Amino acid sequence: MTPPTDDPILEVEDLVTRFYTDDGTVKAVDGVSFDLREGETVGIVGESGSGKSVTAMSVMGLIDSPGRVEGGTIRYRGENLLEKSDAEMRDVRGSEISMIFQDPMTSLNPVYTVGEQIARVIRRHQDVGKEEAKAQAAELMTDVGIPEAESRVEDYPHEFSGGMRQRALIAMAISCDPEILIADEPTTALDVTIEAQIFDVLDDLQEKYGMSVVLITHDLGVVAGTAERVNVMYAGRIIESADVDALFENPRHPYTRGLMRSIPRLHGSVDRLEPIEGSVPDPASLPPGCSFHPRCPHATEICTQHDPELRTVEAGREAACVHARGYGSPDDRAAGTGRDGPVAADGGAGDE
Amino acid sequence: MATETDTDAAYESGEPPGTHRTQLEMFWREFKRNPLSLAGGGIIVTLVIVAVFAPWLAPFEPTTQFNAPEGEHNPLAPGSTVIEENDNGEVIAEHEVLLGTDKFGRDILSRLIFGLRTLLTVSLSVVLFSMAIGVTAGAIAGYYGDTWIDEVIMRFMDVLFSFPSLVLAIAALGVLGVGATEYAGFVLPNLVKIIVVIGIVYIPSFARVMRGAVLKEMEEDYVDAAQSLGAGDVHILVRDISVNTVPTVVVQGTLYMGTAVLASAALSFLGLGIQPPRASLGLMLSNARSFLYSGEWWYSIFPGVVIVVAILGFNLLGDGLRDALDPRYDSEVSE
Repeated sequence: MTPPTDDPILEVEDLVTRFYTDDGTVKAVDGVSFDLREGETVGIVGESGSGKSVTAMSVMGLIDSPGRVEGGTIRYRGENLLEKSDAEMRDVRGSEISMIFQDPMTSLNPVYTVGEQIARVIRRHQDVGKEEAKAQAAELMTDVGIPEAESRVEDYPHEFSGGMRQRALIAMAISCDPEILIADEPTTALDVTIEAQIFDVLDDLQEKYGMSVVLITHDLGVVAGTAERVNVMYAGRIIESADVDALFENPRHPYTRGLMRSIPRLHGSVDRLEPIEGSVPDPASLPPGCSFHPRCPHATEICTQHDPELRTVEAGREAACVHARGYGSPDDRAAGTGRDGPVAADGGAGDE
Repeated sequence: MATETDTDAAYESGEPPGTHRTQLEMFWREFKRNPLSLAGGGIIVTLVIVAVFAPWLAPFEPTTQFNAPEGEHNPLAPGSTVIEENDNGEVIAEHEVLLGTDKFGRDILSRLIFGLRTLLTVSLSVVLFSMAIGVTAGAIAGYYGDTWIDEVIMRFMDVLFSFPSLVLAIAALGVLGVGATEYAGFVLPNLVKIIVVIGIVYIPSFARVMRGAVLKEMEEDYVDAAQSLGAGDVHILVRDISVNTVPTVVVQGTLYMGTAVLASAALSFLGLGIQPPRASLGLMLSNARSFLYSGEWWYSIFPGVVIVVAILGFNLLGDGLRDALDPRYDSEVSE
């Protein structure tokens, strides 16, 4: 394994992905930037429709028509993936960057045995024979905690339970020792009891293979236990980015706080969950100004006019809210609009 | 929840892990539940065996002409005795004909058996021909769904689809000529012509079904999963998608066998299909027309029954296959 360095292995910068639908252009991802360091786990959190899966698919180069990656760069080890040809990207997928999906029940092809499907990925990227690939497949299945792997390689997907299928999919994804694993809601379709097991497997594998992981989820609780850094997405943008401890200790963006209040807790005085009022705006027609303002308890007039960019609010953390502590005047770095920021730098909302 | 029931069913079957139930076994379990499907399957298996072993099963050569005994004339009723003569007009033998003779003194049973063989060969060729072209076109259209490639292919299919099948076949044969014909030194066999003119109008059905199936499979997560692990387009289309559309195509093919049987019999009936003296059920019916009101019922009934049974068999089998291969069929709208 390469020793961990501080250089990001994956740098996503200003990624813009749009979908051209009959109902208009949808900015599914609108200027997303994040870094992933070697051996690190980065969480991307957001509600359905916030653009987190589209971000992942953009990194994989798997955005299908009518969608298109319109701008930005995705650097993997310094190389811009967006400039690679289809054939080059196919070589990257699976061997350098892999992905596991939300629904393990449908992510395996029903007509081939699990072993065949894993072996196929191995043979796609490595020059090995059929028998060798099958042996490796059985080994990988043991690695991901599938009991009696030797005999279960011959099983068809329908003979596997949901948790076992997700393990098999993880085995497929890691079969060629990828540098990066993107896990898109890997446990959403599974029982809570299975969820912990799957994350244990992912943890073990990350240690064993030294992978970096991008964990996409709508569940802050999941992120708390696994990720080192968290990016919170809303309406196609990252609205807060911080180390996981800092984020949970003191969320700066009202949306993040809202998300946290809506997590059930075992301890503490809160006996009622507080949902965030309203729902994610239609990405085809976002509200003017800050796209969260219609649901934001702290929204002021400036929020309806000024669309705050993601800004460093403290060393190592960023937020996109004019009311966030440390954000400064909204016009500080905005192209001179000549408007006076009505909110002080240490504006009230952040001090809650 | 659907997913849970799936898993539960796998466990509730009570089989120890390690006994692998293949898709084929699961299909058979489903298929044999329905007696009509089994009946259809039985009919088709029987007919195919008869057709394959026709030379051994038929009592006589289908073209041998027998003479009627003194005072009688062909067509002879079932169970009659016929006289076989050699070229010099001497009697060699007497035979009993189980199902009677036609107006030329040929054994009906032998001609039914050989006619069935011809009919199934032609129908199968028709279906395979249209399936090969239709499935390929449909797969390409589906894979490039909603692009200009899809548009061009499917609009062309719409044009083909708008032809009434038999009318197109008649018109085409009118232009090409009936029987084996020669074009610039190249002999076009009659069979090939028949297969193409009948099969061409079935192409769109296969293309549509295949396109729909491919579009449906493309939505499946395993396609995304395969892509995310580095599999290429063609690889996915051939290895993942097409194997999952096999049931749909097989069902469609079986159902179209019935249609093809009817069409090729009809073409023969009109005198445009198989040419005499080759045995053909359609041609037999056509010849028997003039005897319908004169009491020689066996001449038309037997070929008619064979055609009906064959079509019934293919339809029952096709429905049975569809139910067994795709239990969700009822709740889903196929294109």
